[in-house]
Amino acid sequence: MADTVQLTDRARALFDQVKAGRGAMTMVLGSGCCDGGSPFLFENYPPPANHRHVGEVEGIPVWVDNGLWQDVDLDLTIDAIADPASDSFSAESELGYRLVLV
Amino acid sequence: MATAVSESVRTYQLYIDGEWRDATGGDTFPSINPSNEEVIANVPKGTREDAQAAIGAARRSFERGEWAGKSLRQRSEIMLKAWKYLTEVAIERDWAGIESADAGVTLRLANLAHVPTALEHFRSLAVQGGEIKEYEPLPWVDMPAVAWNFVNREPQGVCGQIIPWNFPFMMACWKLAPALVTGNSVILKPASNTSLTALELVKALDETGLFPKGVINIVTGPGASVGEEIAANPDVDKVAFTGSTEVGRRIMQLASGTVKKVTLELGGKSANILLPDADLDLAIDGSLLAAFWHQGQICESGTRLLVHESMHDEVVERLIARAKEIVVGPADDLESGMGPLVSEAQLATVKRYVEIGKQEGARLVLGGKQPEGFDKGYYFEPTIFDGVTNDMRIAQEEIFGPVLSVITYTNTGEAIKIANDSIYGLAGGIWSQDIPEAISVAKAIRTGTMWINDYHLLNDVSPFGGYKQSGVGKELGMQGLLEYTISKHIHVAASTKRSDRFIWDTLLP
Repeated sequence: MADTVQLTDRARALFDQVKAGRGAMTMVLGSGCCDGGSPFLFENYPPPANHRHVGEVEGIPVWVDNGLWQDVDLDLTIDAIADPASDSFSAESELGYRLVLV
Repeated sequence: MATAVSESVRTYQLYIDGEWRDATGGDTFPSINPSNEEVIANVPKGTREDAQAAIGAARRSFERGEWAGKSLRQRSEIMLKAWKYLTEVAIERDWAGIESADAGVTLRLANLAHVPTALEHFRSLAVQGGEIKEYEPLPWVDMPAVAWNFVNREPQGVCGQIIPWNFPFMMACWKLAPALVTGNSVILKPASNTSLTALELVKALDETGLFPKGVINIVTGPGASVGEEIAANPDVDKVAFTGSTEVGRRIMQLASGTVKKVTLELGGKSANILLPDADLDLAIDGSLLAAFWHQGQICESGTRLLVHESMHDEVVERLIARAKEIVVGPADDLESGMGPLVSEAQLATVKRYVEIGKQEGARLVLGGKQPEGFDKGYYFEPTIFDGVTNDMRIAQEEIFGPVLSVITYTNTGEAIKIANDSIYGLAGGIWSQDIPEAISVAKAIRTGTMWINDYHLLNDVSPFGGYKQSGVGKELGMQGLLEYTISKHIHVAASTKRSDRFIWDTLLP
């Protein structure tokens, strides 16, 4: 698979804050319902079955659901947006940011 | 983008252990009206500590047993009293108007579905709860020993409930009503961008004075703190979550630490199938309803339309003509059939998927853009892609917006195969005048709800919940209610004689 994962500078700056004081982080691409394609940063999250590894950003492995993207080459650029109302389960929401796919 | 916390709008509070208070640290965030991007309220930004306090209050209330210790019939009657109050207050306080402003639900829809139907479901679930047999004798058996056997049905205990932003008030009713009538204590976490009607509901329930403190708690705030605390905290016995699939997986993982009971209602990419004998006078409108109701922001939407090749041209032509008649406008305008999408984020997601659809080679035949004439608000036109194949991303991934993918099939077997070729199995539709055939097709598709010659209609007595990665467990109906109970087998030995206990002789000489 020719997947690529990149971060914008804004996202890269956010990641240091998110990683601070936390255990091993994993990123997964959201799917279904209200989070179509949003990246999620979870702490201590073993990659679920039937997910494939598509790259690494700032030392954090990125996994996607092979059930959805088995034959798709994903070209992901991840940005961070200030969003004080972010509801997300993703770790950066506590800091008032939301990760998005560009 | 409106970010300022406005002083002139109402600020809500958390409700924990019978008291209303601010979040720890006093942080709030604005709730935005998606029709005009204005701030309509400030909502407390709950923290992990707030979630822990709520869970502790729920736990203590459950152990004190003032609510759990009542009979199902008693709780059912109390909840009917509460429901009566809710129906009065709902109108006085214009809950439909609040829902419309908070979540971009058209008033037409809020006035029919989001509020009144939700209240009717609350009532019905309270009534059905009273019919559960909390003590049930089992058939007499005499092996391995003569005994009376009973089942005692009890509440799960402390239930954490996390709900999404598409039907905020209804989701709150679907979670609170079954959990409360069966004697549980609850912590509700509504979606941050649409917390208002859940807060209003809890306020009204508090005002009834009918629920002991700690039985109902509401904590608004981010999933990463409040939500994860609910999913992981050892004092929570059951987690019920409606939302996205990856988050559902995360919640299952966190819940596994203390083997919590988990019910999940996740994503879907339901196939809506027009069989060759479909009555198009029904099926065209029905298929548009399936895809565009509430701007397509419904997990069981029929977002893949499977059309037999013999009907393809007529169907697509009629869909386009009829879809053009849908009025997109502000949620509070009674002319609007479709309101805005719930947020800027959701609008960005829908736009991204439209681009993906174009890149994949699907034919955009309607919409695919924001409508003219609005300088504020997250509006998007009803959008139809034709020539979609089931391996395309717009056929596999849930967009959660007004985007319909039309797929052509040649025979029923192929339609069934296409319908099943999805990680999801939430719902689906079949349009046909041959009911036995339609039922046969319905049975062949691995999905939790099938509508025949209709779509979207859920009711208070029918269980709702997906197959495959659309979820775990059911909501609504007796089956959904029973998921909030847990049962104990009680075996009472019928004999006082040692000589009757011959099984013991296998150990003891």
